Amino acid sequence: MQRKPQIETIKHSLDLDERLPHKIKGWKAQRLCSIIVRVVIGVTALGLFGGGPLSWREVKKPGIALQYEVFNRVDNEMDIGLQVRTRRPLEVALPMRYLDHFKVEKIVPDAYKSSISQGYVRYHFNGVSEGETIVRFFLSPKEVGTIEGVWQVDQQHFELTHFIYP
Amino acid sequence: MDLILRGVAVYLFLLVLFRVLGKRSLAETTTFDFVLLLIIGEATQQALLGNDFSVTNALILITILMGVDMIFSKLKGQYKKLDRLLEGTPLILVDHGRPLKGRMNESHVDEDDIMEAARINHGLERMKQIKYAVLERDGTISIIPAQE
Repeated sequence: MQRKPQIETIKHSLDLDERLPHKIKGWKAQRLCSIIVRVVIGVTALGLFGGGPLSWREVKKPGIALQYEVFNRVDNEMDIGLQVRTRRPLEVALPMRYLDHFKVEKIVPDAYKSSISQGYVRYHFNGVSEGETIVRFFLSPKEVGTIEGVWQVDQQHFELTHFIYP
Repeated sequence: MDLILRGVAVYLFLLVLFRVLGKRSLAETTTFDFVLLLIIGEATQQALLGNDFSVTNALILITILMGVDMIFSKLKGQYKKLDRLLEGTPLILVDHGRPLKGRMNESHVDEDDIMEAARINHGLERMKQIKYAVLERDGTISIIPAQE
């Protein structure tokens, strides 16, 4: 490997405020920052700011799987998916306090009925004959910071935690 | 208040980023660099304005950015240390015809850059004809020719 050349110290006749030690500190800071830039690109690719393997979480309970994004940004739509093995109508209840932090963009398929009771917004969906119901919630975070909530799907509890970047 | 925070945050982020990227990256702006700057402008627009595209919002934001810049200019004039931190200091790259490889390496300048500046500004043909080459604070290379 080729050795890096030393930083030369010289005596000059110029009226120049060179300050070599200051420069050397600056170069060290630049090297450190270039590492930080690479790390930021790496973790972004992995999904630390949303939309990647680090960001996705799957919670499985008997007959139900819920996938959601842990990391996201304000006003950036996120997708929360539910897969439920049931032939009977399905009820998904979202805490109102949790929903206060989000704007519900759309729900696919549309709930045939929705109601509010005991601090929850309850959505009712028809079960499908094949036995697996898929429901997707598209929500946009309205606030920065950690958002926590417990969803109820067919009487089972799912704890969701999101971290929302500005 | 939110608008001020956005404006200041974006200003400081860009200030640090361009300072860290080094002078040479902006000193010789190529066509692609220019396109890149336009893309950066587009990317920051949304972060600065949010969902409010009104004329008032844009005018307030411009005032904030100009205000922050004015404050920094004043502070740089008052505090030499801050000025050196933000603007850097000049650096000698060639001493009596001898290229200072360590310094050139760190500042991402090669001999071709120095000879280009020497040809353009003084019509010099060889490194030996240069007494000093200095990388200035704004990223340009100034040449002091050796006396014949």
